Amino acid sequence: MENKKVILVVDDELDFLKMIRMRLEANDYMVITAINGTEALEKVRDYKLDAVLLDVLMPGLNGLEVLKKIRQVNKDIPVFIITAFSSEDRFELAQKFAASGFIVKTSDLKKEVDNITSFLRMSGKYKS
Amino acid sequence: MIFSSIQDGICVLDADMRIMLVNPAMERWYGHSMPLVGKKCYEAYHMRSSACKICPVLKTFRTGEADHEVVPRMGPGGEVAGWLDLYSFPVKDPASHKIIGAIEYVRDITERKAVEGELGMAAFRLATVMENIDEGITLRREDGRFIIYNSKMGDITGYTMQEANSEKDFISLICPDQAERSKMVTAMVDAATERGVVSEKEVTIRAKNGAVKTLLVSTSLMQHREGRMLLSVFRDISALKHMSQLKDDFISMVSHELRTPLSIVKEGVSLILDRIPGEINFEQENVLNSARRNIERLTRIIDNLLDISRIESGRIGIKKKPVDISELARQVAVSFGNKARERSIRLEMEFPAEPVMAEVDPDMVAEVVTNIVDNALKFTDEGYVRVGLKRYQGGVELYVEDSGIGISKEDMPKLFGKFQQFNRARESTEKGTGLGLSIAKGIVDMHGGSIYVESDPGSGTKVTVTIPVNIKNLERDDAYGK
Repeated sequence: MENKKVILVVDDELDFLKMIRMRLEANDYMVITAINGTEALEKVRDYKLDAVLLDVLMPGLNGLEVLKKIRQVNKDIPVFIITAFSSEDRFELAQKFAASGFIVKTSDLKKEVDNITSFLRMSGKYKS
Repeated sequence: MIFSSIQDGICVLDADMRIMLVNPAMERWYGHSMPLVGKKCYEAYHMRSSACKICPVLKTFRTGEADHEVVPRMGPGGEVAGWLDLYSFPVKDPASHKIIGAIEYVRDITERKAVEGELGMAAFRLATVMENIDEGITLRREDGRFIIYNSKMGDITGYTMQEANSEKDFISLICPDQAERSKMVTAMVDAATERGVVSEKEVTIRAKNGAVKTLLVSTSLMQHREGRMLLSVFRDISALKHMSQLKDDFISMVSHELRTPLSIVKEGVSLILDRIPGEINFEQENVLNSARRNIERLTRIIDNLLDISRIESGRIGIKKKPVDISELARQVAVSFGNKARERSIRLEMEFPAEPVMAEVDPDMVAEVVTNIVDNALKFTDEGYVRVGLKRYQGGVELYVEDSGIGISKEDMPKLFGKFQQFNRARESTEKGTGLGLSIAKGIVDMHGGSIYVESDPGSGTKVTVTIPVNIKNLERDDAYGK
């Protein structure tokens, strides 16, 4: 239980949160969710997180603004941008804020979660 | 002597309008063999029995002043044979100052009248076109002064020709934005420096009432004896731009809005198929697999719709970089290996052994190859699909050949149209979106290349794409060739 990695998923679509939570938990992650930017920032402060999955299009604070603020508090935490599209200019923008990768909503989420797992495994190895 | 050699007609009349003296020029015009002297002028010149009402001589007799009129020159049959500029001067008795006669001085202006008539007609035609055309037209001298500025131009900018000419810098007035102004100026400089070249630019202007308008401006250089001039045609495409923007925004919005629910449905089905919420039986799995296939199809349709909308609106940026285009195309072809095996079709490849470097957008080129190979497999039931690449002087040629059902002559012209399915899709394969080839064409066009299709219904199709390639990038390969 203590060994489980903790992932914060930020998305305003409750049904999407439900699905991705199920997928991540099946991959042995502990999942915390937030439905807007403000809640996400609180949880970034309150929890010791291993990664954040962050939706770009949200009412109120949008994903990139949240990412900017996360970086002010925590420079190292891996943040993956959730987007509806596979090719967008905002990718370049996200790169500016040091996003670790992207999750394309319409692609195969099983593969996307596998990619996150390999990423965290790799970065974990580097740290140790 | 002078009297008889003068080229204009001169005639001296007495107070009864009887001809007393006439010079040879006047006699020639009227072609009279009989002597004119002694006859009344209206009898001799107009074959009338009384004086003509418009005759200036009559006025001179009445007022004692010189007079002038343009009168018809009558031919022998009474027809109008030409036009005369007729001056009449009074002849007065030196003692009594009474009018005793008149001198008619006549110049033949038939030719001048004809030229004037033609010029008038030409000017009328030009003015009619200029004032009724739905485009602003200006002719501008190098000092910035407008010589032509039609009323549509006035409608577009809100400024009259006088206002435009009284401005020191009219271009800056209608183009307050620096970037837009430089586009307009560039168009003019291009036209001025390269003779015969029509330079076309899309420029945004601000009209007098503050309205922002998008214009298509084409400018060309005119040489005139008074100096060089710029002829510009301004087409107001604001409404068109607005419509096209609305369409793009709509497609973009719809695609965004459709994607999220679609992704949730897809993931829901996938979670069940992956047995994450619990076990399912064979029939349930079967049903869900069909559902997932169709969700994927819907996703493809939305992706394609968005792609075509971006290509058409020019919103998609082409990101060129040097890549081995041969390897790129080969990898795409290889990715169809499973699909070809499943359908028992031979996937043949003809790629050069050495790399072929080309500066292209790799993602876009991959999409072109994907769409064409996907089509070839879809419409081939047995035999082969051959994918290959060849170099030619100045570019590369990519081809996809198949032994499939081919395309009928009637369908050929519609091939690159949107949503074309030609009723040839079959049950055994997944249905397409009808957008693949138009996306491919859009991408090839963006690379300055061309795409063409040859087909023999019943025995196969060959799609060829040519992309011009920077020769510099190919130099290395030339060495391989030698």
